[in-house]
Amino acid sequence: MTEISNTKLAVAKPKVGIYGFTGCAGDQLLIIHTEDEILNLFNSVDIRSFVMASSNPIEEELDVAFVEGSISTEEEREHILKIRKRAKILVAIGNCAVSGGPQAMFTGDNTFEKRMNKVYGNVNFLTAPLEAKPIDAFVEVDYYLPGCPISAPQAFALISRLIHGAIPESYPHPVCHECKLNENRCLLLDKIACFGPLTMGGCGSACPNHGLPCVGCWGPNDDGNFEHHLELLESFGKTREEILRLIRGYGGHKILKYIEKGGK
Amino acid sequence: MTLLEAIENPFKPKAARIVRHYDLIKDHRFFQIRHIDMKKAMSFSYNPGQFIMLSIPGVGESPFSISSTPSRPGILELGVRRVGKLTESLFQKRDNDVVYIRGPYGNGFKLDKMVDRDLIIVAGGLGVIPLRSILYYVLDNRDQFKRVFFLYGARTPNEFLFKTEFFQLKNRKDIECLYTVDKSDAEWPHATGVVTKLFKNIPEIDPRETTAVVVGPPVMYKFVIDEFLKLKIPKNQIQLSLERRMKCGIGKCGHCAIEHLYTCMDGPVFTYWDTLHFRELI
Amino acid sequence: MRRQNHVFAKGKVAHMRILKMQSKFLDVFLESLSKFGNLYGPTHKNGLLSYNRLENISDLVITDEHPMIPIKKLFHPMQFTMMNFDEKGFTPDYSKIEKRVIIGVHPCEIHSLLILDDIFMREPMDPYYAQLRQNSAIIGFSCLPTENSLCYSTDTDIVEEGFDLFFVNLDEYFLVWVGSSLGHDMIYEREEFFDMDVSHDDIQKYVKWRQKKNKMFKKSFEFDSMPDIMELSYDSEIWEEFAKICLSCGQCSMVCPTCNCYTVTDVFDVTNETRGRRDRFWDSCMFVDYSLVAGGHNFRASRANRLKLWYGHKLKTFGKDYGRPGCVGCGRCVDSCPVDINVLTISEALITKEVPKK
Repeated sequence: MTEISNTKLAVAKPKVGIYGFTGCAGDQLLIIHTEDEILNLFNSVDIRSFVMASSNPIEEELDVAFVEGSISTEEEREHILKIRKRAKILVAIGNCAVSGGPQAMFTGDNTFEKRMNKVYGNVNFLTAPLEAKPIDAFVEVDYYLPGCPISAPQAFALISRLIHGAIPESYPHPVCHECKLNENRCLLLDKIACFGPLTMGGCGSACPNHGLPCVGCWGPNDDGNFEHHLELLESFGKTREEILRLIRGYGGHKILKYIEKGGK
Repeated sequence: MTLLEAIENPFKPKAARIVRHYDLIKDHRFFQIRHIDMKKAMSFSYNPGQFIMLSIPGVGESPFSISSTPSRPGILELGVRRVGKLTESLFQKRDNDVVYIRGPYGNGFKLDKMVDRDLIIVAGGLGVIPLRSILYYVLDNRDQFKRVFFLYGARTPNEFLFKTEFFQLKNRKDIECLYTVDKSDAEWPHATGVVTKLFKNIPEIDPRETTAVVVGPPVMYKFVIDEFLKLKIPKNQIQLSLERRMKCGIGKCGHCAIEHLYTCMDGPVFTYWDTLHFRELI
Repeated sequence: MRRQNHVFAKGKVAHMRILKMQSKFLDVFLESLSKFGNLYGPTHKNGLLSYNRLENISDLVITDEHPMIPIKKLFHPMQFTMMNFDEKGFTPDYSKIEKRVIIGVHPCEIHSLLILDDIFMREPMDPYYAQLRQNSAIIGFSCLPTENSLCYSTDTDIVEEGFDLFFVNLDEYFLVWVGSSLGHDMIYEREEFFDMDVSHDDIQKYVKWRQKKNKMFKKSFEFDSMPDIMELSYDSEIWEEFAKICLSCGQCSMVCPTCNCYTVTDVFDVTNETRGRRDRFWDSCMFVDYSLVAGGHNFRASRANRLKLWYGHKLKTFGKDYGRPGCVGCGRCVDSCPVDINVLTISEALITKEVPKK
């Protein structure tokens, strides 16, 4: 009487593609370097395209596409549009895909052509360069997995939910949550400009664990008190300009948007 | 460790099978579930207004009001709106699939304050799901209660839950059922307008001998309670059930705290008198 | 501004033995306690005090300072697996439970455990907390007030229960209170270290130590009147003033010894959709999703309402009807909040209607 069986129809393995655009490929590398987990992943899904791990991509319909890197050429733009059309679920992985990364640091600052010219001079490119932007500047993104690189536990929590047909869980807490659980002394108490309270957690408070302030690389914690946090940092003797420059440094581009809006 | 394994772990959910399910309206599904352990299924007792915690392994656990009446044991009924991670997974389940449940939790409606009195039950939208439990409980023990009024308002005819059941109830002589929708269509046979408009159909009552019960969306409470107060029903004879985020159901996780109360232990049913002391309640 | 009486004291232990031990025996005695379980206590970790397993008794740091993260972490772990699941259902994971002896626990910490007991040991009991509690001996140690100690105001500077042994440091020797049968067993184990005869000189020395300690407190607050003040100022605009500066970082909840909130999350094994685990970890009512229900309604979206709940639990009532407030005066919120929102500034502002400036 107590025999339990979940009568599920045998479903084909979910079809997954992993793609890299402009970036260091560190997030794909992280997935490959998870040893046991990557083998499990290869067992439980049908990897159609993962150029870094296998050279025979099959470009067709996908259940889930994981996309790393920012879009910075016309060719990449066309490719991401195609991937979006083929994928039921599209996940932006890593900071470059999520918020543009360091290459998008000056997006919107002066004209792109001017900056381009200053750095490269007058050159002909194989494919037309674009101002580097995150994936969601071009296509709709279903889930974001920030990080530089992404965190393996978070990545596999997300991947396993997606491939088992469940909705991933969001983590709407600031870096400070994990920072305290790691028993770090709050750097703000020592008047160090830390962006932990403004920044989405999940990184395991990587920088404060080493006594370094959070630079906001995982993007905004929506609930952050942007206005007062800036005032607090100014009271430490930093100018507003210095603070904004610090945020820009590591893809805190989306944090800036909150600040421009006048905080919350 | 054998000693530890013998401990009854209140967080450990028990397996239950989905016996039957059907859609009430779009994105709202009715589930009948039963503990796989037959003894547990038959001995599972609860009060109207209590809730269970339902788990889908790997997805999570959430509270759900019990919609069935304890006067019909064996099967638990739930009305579920597709609204989050867990319900999305629950909607993928089919008959005979297994889910995990624990409970019942919460205090439930205060039945002793209803016996031998007139009873006014007011439901708004999804609030009808827990109220269906007390409604059927009262009908199954009809002689214990005096007059019974059941007022139910939905936004549109398409959002009216348990339409077949409730329309049939209208034929019963021992309960006055009054239904309304905010916006009606050509086929809607009942009243149009907000639920408070139905109060004019309630005949004279003796307020001290009346208990009122209301469950609905947070915005509705104030308006319905005003109507009860107009009828001069004492504040501690107005019962309402509240929704809160919960992670444990047994007063440990803190999420459902309202001042020093826990909705899961001290509620979800409170009286209007309580809410005057705990200003965050509604 | 001391609490007037012991309204909330849970009943004194009737016949408590008090013994004497020369300080030179301390380390050897504490080491001998490993017979009763794995030794835990405050240690230095990355320059901060932190409760941890003691590899050596020399790792133990007994000072007047409190570890930043309170003793609750040993009973209500920051993060752990509650249950594993597979196709057969859920199986509780009790692997964290072991016999332990926790050394160097200050009075406010012992009080905090007695308060957490009200939550976690209330029926139905939390089996994880209850088992950790029942398998742990508490070896309390006296301390002298530090910069932000408020335990004189909250009447938690001394303890009468909640320990197996309690050591009061009178320099060349300790007075040792025996609070349980297990504590008595521990003494019996090294009887030769203990002197049964406590003289009048010792009593005088102890009284002087109490007097000295009481004079050392630098800060105090109106703890006794706070329940009424909290009630009266529910709609005060002061809350909005604090809400403007609150960073919602949640640090206060992590460092508060009586914050009990946690959240639960399920994690699948990648390979298998029927296998995985259910984890639980500390949460804070300062985080925005704390009171968010499915469908998007947030019962406590505003920072002001979050602060009211937190301070209501600390300064008004916590855990049960007519229960005592949760604050044990450890001063950690004063030490930790980067924008100076703490029991001192809140109580001062509610009384004077002025948000204290730095």
